[in-house]
Parts: sequence; C-alpha cells; structure tokens
Amino acid sequence: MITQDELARTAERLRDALTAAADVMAEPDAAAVITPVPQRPGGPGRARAWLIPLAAAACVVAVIAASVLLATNLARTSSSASQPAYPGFSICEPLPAAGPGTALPRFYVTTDVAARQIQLQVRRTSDCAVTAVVPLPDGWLLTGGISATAGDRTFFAAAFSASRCPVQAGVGGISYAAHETRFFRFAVNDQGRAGRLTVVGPPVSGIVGPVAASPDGSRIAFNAADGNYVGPGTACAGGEAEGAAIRVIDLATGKIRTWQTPEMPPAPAGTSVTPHEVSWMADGRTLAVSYVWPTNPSGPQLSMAVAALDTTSRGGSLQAHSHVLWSQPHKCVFCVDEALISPDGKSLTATAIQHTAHGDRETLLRIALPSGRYRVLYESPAETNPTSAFTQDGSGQHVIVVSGSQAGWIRAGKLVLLRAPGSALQFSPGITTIAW
Amino acid sequence: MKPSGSAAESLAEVFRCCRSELVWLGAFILGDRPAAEDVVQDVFLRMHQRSDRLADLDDPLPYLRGAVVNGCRSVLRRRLLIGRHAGKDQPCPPLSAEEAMLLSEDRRQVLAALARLPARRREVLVLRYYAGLSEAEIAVTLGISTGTVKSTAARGLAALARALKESR
Repeated sequence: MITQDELARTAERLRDALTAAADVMAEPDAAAVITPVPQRPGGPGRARAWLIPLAAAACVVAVIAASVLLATNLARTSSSASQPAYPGFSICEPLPAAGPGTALPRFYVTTDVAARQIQLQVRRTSDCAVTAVVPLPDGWLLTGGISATAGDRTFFAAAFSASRCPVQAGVGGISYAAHETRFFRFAVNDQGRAGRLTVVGPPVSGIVGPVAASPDGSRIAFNAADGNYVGPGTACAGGEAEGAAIRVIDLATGKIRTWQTPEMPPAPAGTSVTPHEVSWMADGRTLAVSYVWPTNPSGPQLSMAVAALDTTSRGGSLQAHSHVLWSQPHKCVFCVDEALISPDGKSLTATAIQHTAHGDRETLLRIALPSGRYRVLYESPAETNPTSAFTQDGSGQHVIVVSGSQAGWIRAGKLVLLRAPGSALQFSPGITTIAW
Repeated sequence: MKPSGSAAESLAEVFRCCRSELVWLGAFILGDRPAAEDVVQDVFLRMHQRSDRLADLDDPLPYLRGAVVNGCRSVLRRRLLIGRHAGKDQPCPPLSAEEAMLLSEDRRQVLAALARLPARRREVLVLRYYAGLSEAEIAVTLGISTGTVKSTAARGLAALARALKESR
C-alpha cells in the first residue's frame, strides 16, 4: 500500500529527477528550422532561468487556443491514407432501422476552426456530412464546450473572448488571464439547417467547466473550477481566486444561483472536493454533480462520488441541498473517472479504468442506481488511444466517446466513428468539442 | 505564407528561448529525444507558415507546449497503429549513456519508471512536475477535465511510487 507520505516523496523525487535530467541533457541540436539562431550563452540552466518569468506569464487563454487550433491543424495535416484503419471500427454507418428504444439523434454538433474563428458544425449522424456551419464571433474560443437539450435540436456553447485580457498574477506562480465567458444558443431544423446564433444569459467571469443545458433549454449549469479568477462582472477585470462551485443560470431572468462545494460526503470532514461533470435529470430540477477528493493513505489515491442537487433551492452549500447517489467502492475494479446521470435518474454512464493483470484498460460503463451494479458498454481497444471523454444524447441511451482525436458512437460494444470516409482526423480531444 | 519581419523576429526569439524546453518536454513524454526534436521542428515549421497566429498570442509558450504534446500524441498513435511496439510504449529514457552517468542512480530509476507509465499518465506528470502547470492548465492543454487531470495524476504518481518501491 502506498501512503500519502510516499506519494509526496515520489512527487518530489520526480520533480528533482526531471529538473536534473533537463540540466544534464546536452543542448538539443539547434540546427535552425526557421532562421539560424545563435545559442544563448550559459547553457540550459540559464535558458531555464530565463523561462521562469515567461512561464509566470502563461495565459490560459492561449493554452486553450493552442489546444483547439493545433488539434485541428494536426488533424488536417495528418494523412489518413497513410494510417491503417482502426481495428474493429466502422465509419459513419447509416442509421439503424427503427427498433426498440429511442432513435439515434439525427444530427450532432462539433467544432471546426477557420483561420481565426471557431465554427460550430452541424453534421448528419448517418453520413457525417456538414449540414450547417455556425461561426462563433471573431476572437471567441470555446471554454465550457457544447451541450444539447433533450430534443437534440437546440445547442448551447460556452465561449470567451480570447486575446484582450491582461494577465493576472495567479496561484502557485502560474498566471491566469482574466476573461469573460458568454453563452451562445442556436437551433437546428429537420434538414439540419441552423438558426441564428444568439447570446443568452449574463456574462460570467473566469473559465467555466463543462456546461450542461437543462432538458428544456431554460437553464444552463456548469462548474466553476477551483482557483478560477473571477472579476466584479466586467471582462478582464481580474479579481480574487474563488473556490469551486456549481452554478445554474436561469436564461429567462438572468439570475445565477451558486452552490459552494468545499466539502461533501462521503469525503472525510475537512477534505475539499473538486466538482467535475454536471448533468440534468429529465425533471429539469435535479442536477447530478460528480466530484473527486484525495483519500486517506489506506484507500485508493483518489475517490469519487455523484450527488443529486435540488436546483430549486436558493443556493449556498451543495452539501445542504443534495444527497449522494453513488460513490466509488473502496477497492474499485472499474475506477470511475467521469459520470453522467440518465434522464430518469436510474443509472449513470461513466468512463472508468479497469485494472487488469495486463495493464489498465479504459471502459465505458452503465451503473445502475442505487445498487451500483455495472454493465460494460464499451472497452477501448488496447492499441488505440484511451477514452478521453464522452457525452450522451437527451435520452441517455446513445453515447459518443472521444478516443484520442477520434470520436464515435457506441453500437453493440463497437465504436462507429463520426467522420466522413476518407477524411483526416477531425476531433480535438476532450468533451468540449462534440454534443448531440 | 511568408512571415513579416516582426513576426519572423518574434518567432526567432521564441525559438531561441523555448526550443530546448520544448524538446525536453517532448523527450520526457516520448522517451525518445530524436523523435521529440522532430516534433518540435514540425511545430516551429508550422508556426513559421502561420506566423500570423503568433501575433495573436500574448505568450506563445503555452501554445507551443500544447502543440508539442499533441505532436507527441501523434507520434505515439502512429507507433501504436503500425504495431511497431506491439501496443505498448517502449521505455527509453531520453538520455544518452554519457548524460545518464551524470545523474544519480536514484534519478535514473525515477526516469526509467516514468518512461514505463502509460502515455496519458506520463503527459500529465511531466506537465505537472516538469513544466509546472496547474491542474486547470493541464486540463486545457490536454483537452480533458480537471477531475480527469487530478485522477490521472494521482494514479500516475501512485504507479510511479509502486514501481520505485518494487525496484528497491
């Protein structure tokens, strides 16, 4: 059993080894790719010292821009022809004939990045063809991702203005850019054509986590990450780092309710939890909130639970207005990372790591509530990238998995890739880039 | 697109200051310094072709880090897909024999154990303990949630601790 002391020592040893290795490594061959550049005298040690203020000026806005822009650029420059097909995967199959259960959503929304402008793309599930393009305003970048309502014809995106914010001093020597998040909405008709993109709700300062639109689209929920910089209401105003919280915006009134999450059962008293995904039940009132916390030395290193929050309460403490639906078993075989609730509240869909004798395997589970019994929906093949995120439709029956830079929907334990035949990779990793 | 004079100068300055840092970052993730140098070269080449984007960034280092991590992922993906490593990353500390001799045995063990971790865990640990990024910054760099960063880092560190314990 690994104790917390051993973990702390390991972290210190790792930091020390990486720093020392970088210091002893010969300067990489600096044959100039762009312009011959003379090496700075003083070697790597001085170069690293010079980088300290540069790192201190690191801007989260730019990081997000990099993630989105580069993932797409890499995708475009990758030659799909030179890569063998993913084993066991099929691509954009026609929709199955109507059968038991709910129909597969006809459209999904993902992102594409034009020169300097992010575009939301509406695509047909059956052939992945683009049916509409909805550009975000110039200079705006996604932060909390895309979310669909229960009818799968109304979509929301959370984005922020990227480049006009001064850098603020941040936590632990790392800086954050203060910025303002806005929420956007558009509708899709039966032909997949998109209506006008409109701004909804009030602006929110800081970065927001994954957003979840309520089933009827009247409210938006999101988690405000711990350490976020929030200002007094204006863009780039800076402000104080705020603790983690769950927020729900009523789009009709613009009112925001906030539930703080310093402690939650079954985490021991005095242990802070980190909120994670949020997802709505069909009643439009109950919000499932997953959260993680470090465990004591004798347990798994990180534990997780999901609580049901009554969003008609006035706000305040999450603990006071919620009850625990499920928590990670002490010795988990499938250790859950992320979980979303089904609309009827009877199950969770979750990504988990399965510890096997042959190594760890990423899986997608359906966990019955309250029994906790699980069923494996999908296992990520060992030879592919691990599952990085997933999202579900309004029925909770149809799940999209993002695996590396690929995304697909699950059918009978297999992944049906959501990309046009012959095209290059199209998805940035992460849940923020696709919804249905 | 040919960069303007100021864009070229900015890019040259970024190249001068950051290339080593980025190569090391890639080398720790890939366990393969020549491959990391290729990744970084490719990143700078694309920056050169699209230097207009550089002008949009207050600080290009986070952008470049994200690019290098994504480039390393592409390398790992290609390796896995062509089956060159039978579905597993080959542990290969990114140090030459001469360089390794300059490190203590303890540090060599730590680096070897790190190189044997799965790619995602290695990415998170290197970004956390080498690049010094916060959980929120790692989350946006890798395109995953902060909760996943937290759990991946915890599991990665625990696996590293176990490996080091077993090697004693």
